[in-house]
Amino acid sequence: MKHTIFSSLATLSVAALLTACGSSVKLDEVPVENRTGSVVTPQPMPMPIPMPMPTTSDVLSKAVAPVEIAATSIAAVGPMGVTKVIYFDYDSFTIKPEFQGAVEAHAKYMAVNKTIKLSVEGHTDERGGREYNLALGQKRAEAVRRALGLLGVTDAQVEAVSFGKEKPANSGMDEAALAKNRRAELSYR
Amino acid sequence: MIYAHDVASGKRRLLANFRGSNSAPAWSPDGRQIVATLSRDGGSQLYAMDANGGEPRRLTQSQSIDTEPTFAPDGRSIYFVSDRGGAPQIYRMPASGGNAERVTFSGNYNISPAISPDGKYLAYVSRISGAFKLQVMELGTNTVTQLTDTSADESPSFSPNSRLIVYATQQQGRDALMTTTLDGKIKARLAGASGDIREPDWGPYSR
Repeated sequence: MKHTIFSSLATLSVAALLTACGSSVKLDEVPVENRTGSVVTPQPMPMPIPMPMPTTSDVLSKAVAPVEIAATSIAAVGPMGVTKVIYFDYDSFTIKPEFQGAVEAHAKYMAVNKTIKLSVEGHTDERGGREYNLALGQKRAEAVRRALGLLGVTDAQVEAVSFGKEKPANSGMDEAALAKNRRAELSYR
Repeated sequence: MIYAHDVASGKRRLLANFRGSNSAPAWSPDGRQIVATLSRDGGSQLYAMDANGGEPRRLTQSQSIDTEPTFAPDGRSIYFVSDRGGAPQIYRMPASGGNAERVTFSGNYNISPAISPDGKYLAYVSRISGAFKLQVMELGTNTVTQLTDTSADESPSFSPNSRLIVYATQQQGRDALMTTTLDGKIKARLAGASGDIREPDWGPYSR
């Protein structure tokens, strides 16, 4: 009997399946989450070794030299100070009232920047079926796309895609971690 | 993307690469068609495609999630998962599309349908008190039996003789590949100790 099972399994008929590959987004490109929408603060530079012997004021002025961040950095695109991650309740694709302001800010930003494109990437927490979660993530992304559409953003500017439960933002299993994974991420191109 | 992979030659060909997700492919019993979930028109909907490729034909027209299609062994109907009633449940519709009737009624999260080759049983995964558990329904009587005491069961698939179900689950925190009899009394753990185990599918008897 056991042998039968193994030989049957060995002949698995394969309808090779790679989910969620229809998007131009590569699966290994996880967007940097930046909940405040602000430019990442540069770490202080290590103290430079001064040559020749400097004065104290020279050292201090070098120590606080700012780090240049490219103006085209993805994090810098989008309305300043507005979240690019919208969180959802379990099993839900409804945009909660506390995120309505953020959606409106993104809509305004896109209305001004008509050539900019936005990818809305839907995600779920890890509970439940892979396929159903892929569809649920799609529904979350679509909910954001439609909300933007109601505020005047054109379909051509926004693409809604889903990663289902495959790309958690937080690998923890407690409710706080799961809540961070039920999300739609807005990614400007 | 969805590929058809020829097991004997190792060759594969691309069947679907549309905008959005292309997922959950299922063969028709005669091997001529594939039904799959595409999100090319927004939401996740079911489409039929010729196994040789070509333009997909949309089978469902809902504002809801429709996914995880699987053919009945006679090829006349398709079982699938939909949240059209507000929560995911298993439905059945004609293979060419049309009116769907609900099949599962107990619980508010029933997914991943599989039909036994003899057409008598539906295996699926139900969320019960936060745990995901393999169930089998006798289609003639609608009697449901819970088969496992694990809590992360996935992707059931019947043996060709309709006597066993293979499924993926977790035991002691590790992925496991299991078989069970339809009464849940005899189980066997199949695969090795480590690795990511998912979505088993029992192959047909070779002819």
